[in-house]
Amino acid sequence: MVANHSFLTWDRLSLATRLKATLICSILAMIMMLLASRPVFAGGEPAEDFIKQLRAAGYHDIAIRYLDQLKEYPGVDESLIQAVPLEKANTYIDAAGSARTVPEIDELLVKADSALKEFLKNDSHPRASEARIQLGGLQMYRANFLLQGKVDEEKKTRARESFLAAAATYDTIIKDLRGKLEEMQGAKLDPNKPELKTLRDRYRIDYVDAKLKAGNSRRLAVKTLANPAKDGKATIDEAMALFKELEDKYSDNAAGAFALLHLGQMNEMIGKKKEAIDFYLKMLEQVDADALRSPKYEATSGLIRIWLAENPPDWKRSVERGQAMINDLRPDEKLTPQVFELKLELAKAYIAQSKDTKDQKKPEIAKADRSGRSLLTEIEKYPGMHAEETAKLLKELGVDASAASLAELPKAEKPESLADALTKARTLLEAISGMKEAVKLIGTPKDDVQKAELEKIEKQTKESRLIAIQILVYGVSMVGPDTDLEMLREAKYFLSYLLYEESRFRDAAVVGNSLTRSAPGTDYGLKGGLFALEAYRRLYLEAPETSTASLTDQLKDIADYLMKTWPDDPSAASGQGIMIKLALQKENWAEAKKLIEKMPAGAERAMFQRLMGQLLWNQSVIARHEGKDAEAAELLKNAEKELISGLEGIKSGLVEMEGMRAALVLAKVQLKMSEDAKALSTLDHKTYGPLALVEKLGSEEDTFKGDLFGTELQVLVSRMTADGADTDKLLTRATKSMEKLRDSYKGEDGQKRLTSIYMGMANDLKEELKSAAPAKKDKLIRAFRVFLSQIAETSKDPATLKWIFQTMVQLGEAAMTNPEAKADGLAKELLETAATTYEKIGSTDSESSISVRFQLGRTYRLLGRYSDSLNVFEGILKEKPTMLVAQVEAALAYEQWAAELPDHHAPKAYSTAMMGGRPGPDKKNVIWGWGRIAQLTNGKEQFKDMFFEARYHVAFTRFMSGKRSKNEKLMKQAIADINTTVNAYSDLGGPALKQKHDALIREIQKATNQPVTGL
Amino acid sequence: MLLNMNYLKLSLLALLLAPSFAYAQNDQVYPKEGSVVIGSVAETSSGGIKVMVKGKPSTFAAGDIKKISFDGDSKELTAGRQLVLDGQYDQGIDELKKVELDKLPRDVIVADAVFFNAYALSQLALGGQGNKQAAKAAMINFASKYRDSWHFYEAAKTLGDLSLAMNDYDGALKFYGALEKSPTTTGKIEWVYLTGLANLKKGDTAAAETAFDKILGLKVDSVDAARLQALSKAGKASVLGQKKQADEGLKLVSLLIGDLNPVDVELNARTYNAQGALWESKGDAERAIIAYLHTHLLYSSQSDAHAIALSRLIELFTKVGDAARSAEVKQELQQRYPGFGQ
Repeated sequence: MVANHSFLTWDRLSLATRLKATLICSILAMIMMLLASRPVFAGGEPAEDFIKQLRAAGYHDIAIRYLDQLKEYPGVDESLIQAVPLEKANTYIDAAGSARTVPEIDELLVKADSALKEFLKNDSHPRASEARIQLGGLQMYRANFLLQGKVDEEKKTRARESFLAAAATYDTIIKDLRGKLEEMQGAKLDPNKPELKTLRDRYRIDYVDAKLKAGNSRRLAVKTLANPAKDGKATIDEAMALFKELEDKYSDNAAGAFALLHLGQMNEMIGKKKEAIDFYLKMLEQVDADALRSPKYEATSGLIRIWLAENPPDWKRSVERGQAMINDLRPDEKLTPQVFELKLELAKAYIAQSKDTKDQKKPEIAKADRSGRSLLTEIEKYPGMHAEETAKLLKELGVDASAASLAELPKAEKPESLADALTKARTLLEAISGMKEAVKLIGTPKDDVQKAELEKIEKQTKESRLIAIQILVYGVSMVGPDTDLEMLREAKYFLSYLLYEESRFRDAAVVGNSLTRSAPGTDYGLKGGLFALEAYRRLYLEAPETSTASLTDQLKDIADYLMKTWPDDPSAASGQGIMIKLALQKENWAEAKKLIEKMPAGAERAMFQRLMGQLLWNQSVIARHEGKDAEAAELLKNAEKELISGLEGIKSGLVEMEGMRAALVLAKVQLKMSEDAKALSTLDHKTYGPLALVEKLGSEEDTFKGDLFGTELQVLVSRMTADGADTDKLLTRATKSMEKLRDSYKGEDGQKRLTSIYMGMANDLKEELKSAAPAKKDKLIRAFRVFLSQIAETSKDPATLKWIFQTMVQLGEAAMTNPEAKADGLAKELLETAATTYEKIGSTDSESSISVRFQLGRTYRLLGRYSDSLNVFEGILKEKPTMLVAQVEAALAYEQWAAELPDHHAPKAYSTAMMGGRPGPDKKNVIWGWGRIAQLTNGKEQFKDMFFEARYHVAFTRFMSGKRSKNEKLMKQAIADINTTVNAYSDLGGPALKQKHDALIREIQKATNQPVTGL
Repeated sequence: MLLNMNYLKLSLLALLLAPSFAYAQNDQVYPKEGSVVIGSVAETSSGGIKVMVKGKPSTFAAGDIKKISFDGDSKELTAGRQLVLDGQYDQGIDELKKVELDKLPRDVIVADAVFFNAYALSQLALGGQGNKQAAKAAMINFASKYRDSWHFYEAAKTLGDLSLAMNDYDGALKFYGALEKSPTTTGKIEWVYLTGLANLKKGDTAAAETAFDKILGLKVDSVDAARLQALSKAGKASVLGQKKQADEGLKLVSLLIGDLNPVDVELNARTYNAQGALWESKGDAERAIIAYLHTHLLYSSQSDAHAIALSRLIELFTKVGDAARSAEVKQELQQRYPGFGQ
């Protein structure tokens, strides 16, 4: 199993990258320490902030002076005073990051080194172990730094000393961690403290890491010797012992695999070729894992080196192994130093093959020659440890490297130096910028001449870009010990930009990544990081879903790095933003939440919390719709939490549309959670309350306003039902809210939308009434009644009146004690108000939708206004004869009317209920009656209930017609009606309807003096 | 007759509920502490306002009011006022420019619009971003036309600040003098403090010290007053510097730093500037640089103090032979406060 290997990949990186990476790790560690140790404010000198600001502004010398005087300032935390040497080391390292010359950097690193050592004199300080890790990294960095460029013996000696100092530091770390681990042995751990187990696991990882580093620093130290086997025996033995222990104890994880590689390298170094080959091969047999890909390239390089050194050179095995590895390269690995090294060794193998004329045909020899040259020209243009030897080999082959690598590109002159490359690139960039402006000016070409002109400019732009890329690639390969770092950063910055513009995202990401990692804390570093981030994002978007995992890791890596390195820069936080958006896109709430929590408190984090809250709300709506109530409730709770945190993060006066939307959603969430008081507070909140802000910000979005005022109205209505609510005050406000709502929706479309909002609210109310407890239900209805009546009196707006009407109907029906009977009491009052409200609409009646008119017809029926009811239904059914619910209502109206009519009219009315009435121009009845309803719904599964209901009413109306006309035959016919239904469908549509039929038949049997037997 | 049919429709319910105060029930008074009061602003004076709430009068002292949203405010005035209160002066002025004063229904609203415009211009000028003379003219125009406005004392203070920024010390003392009649205790303490500050800049060390001592001798019971006392301590420290009693001044500054509230930018900026001046008076340029850098790097949002810190850093960096940093700081001063020192 390969776990937590990122810390083990140190020496897989190029020298330059390693140098920078150590520095970055140190700085990151410091930042983490700073963050971790930040005390809660308790007055006093703001030392930590000030030091940080001094460093960020480049006042490193003043920061050192200030740290020297820190004790003089009141209120400085004692632990910070004790950590002054550590802070000084941080400052020196920070200064080294922005220093321009090699001696300057070296001097600063020496000072950092001694400051750290001074700090470590007090090894009981809580930050001591972190400082040791930092010191080790710094010593490694310094040693590698000394080996950059032209290296003489003096530099080698200093580098070796630094490597050995690092080894000693790691030895101390090992000793320290061993002690801690012994204290924490399994049996001694308190099972109630799981954090101790986590800590122990962390220590174990650090322990293995320190061992690997202790061995590796020794390996690198002896590598600087002219004759390692002879002059570095003791160190080699120590390193070997460490690697051997790792190989033995950790053979099943990455540490063991790395140890194998290093054992191979050590044996190769001291000339034990057979052992080296064994270790390399063993390493190559390790499992396929991302972390082991790069060391496997190194192991393969080692093997090729040994095989080619044989006499005669074993090029065959070398080519086989090497080419197989190259064939399997991933796009993002192509520019790594390990791959450059492998390609160089493979090229040498091909060259060896091309020179071996024995038993080979000419085409094979030519092919090997081409392959070798191709590999060399491919890597020649990139800087790194391979560059010098590559150039030498190409020269020996008589290849003009620049011509070979640039054959297919526009011709670029090789710059004389990095400075020259930069000057030329700047000129080209200016020209590109001018050409872009020209393209903008032309816009869409109007004719062929313009089109040709545009194509010409675009071609020139591309050529200029390609030339600039080549020049910069040359330029950055000319880096030496005295190179101006600022210039190098600028060159890399331009290069990453141009590569991005060329849509070479992978390359742009590599260059941007290298820039940002080598220049932490600088402006170019940040820009490079942002290019890398954007380039990875583009790659992610373009990659198939199955292969996004590694890109996600890379995105995460760069995003984390940017966040940690530029913690106060909002653009750096955008990386985290991309990660969060990806997580949210995948609905991975836990991951998104984790990422958001990792962001520093501030506007950016708050914004993401608001975004997440809104998405959780959407999700809860979906869950509720799907009937997953428990899940919906949980989502609501989380949405509320995120939205509150996010909104609290908004500073006064800085609320924008997005914040207002979030606040509106929070109010909706709270309303849904029956927290209407909180919802109202949210809407009125002094900082982010959207009600006041929507006026202030002059939001042009009527839809938003409509939604906002609609929600306000709902909240107010809900508040009215609360105990002790000031109904008058709420009513006044609700009236204003209605006015604002109407103002938000103007014109014909607006009115339609308004109606739709009102309808939605009416439905919501109906839902709420369904589940409300009786006491609340009554209160809800009464509060609404007052509210609606008063609004109705003041409004002539058709949409408002229709909404009031519909709501009144809903309320009236909800208040009915017996839904079968005519309305009475409160229900009657509500329905009467509804009818009156509708009648106020007057001339606009024809514009009412069928559904609204249907409700009116039903209202009239429930109020006993049967004639009015039938008129309404007739109107509807003339337009839409097949509206079954209206047919049922109309038949019911006839039937109920009949019950109230005197005996001489009743039979006819019952008969009409059964046979239909109101003939149309074609003489056919517009109102079908129960008979035809039953006939047309028979056998149709979707109308099953309606069929049985209709059949029941056929029997009932026939019986009542007979009863009221004292016609026994007719009454008995009703029994036949029921029996017909029973014969066809014995279950009669379910127990309820069966019972209803049974009751009816018993009544008929009784009325016709038959034995009462029921069904 | 202002009541049109539309308004009648809108207010029908309100009329039914509270017929006697239906018209102007919608002025909203936001006190500095406590919740919003809705009523009708019936009277205003430099001392404050009288609001009729459900038929009963309620008074608010000028210094206790955060803002008033008037019934009849135009959309632009509502937006502009809020932007100015939020310190977004540029945008605030843009909004207030759109306000058609002659269409505002009540004089009290016109006064509010004129004040906020003059106030925003003044704040921009004080931050080095606008013409101080023009801002002063606008504020004098307001103060002379609307003497009964509850903004009067704020206008006087602003005029004092502008005069001080223009090195017109006597003018500043004259305008600050109006605050003596401020209706709140805090307002009166502020008058003494500002007098001290003006005298300090004028070079009348004795008068400045008297003023600061007067405040330091008070027993205060409010947060605002305690803050003015802390500011006076910073002022007193500067006085001690001018009196060549730097060590005593530095002790005072140490007390302030020991109690530092990181969010009180003004107090902190003034404290570290005082510390810088004290080190300068002791001839320790390097420590003075560190003090002024506190203001520059941590409290730059206090424009006047930041500009002073930058101007001192220009000289001090030159003095210690760091010409490059001196030039850098000079560039920043010119960019951020183009009108500084003029």
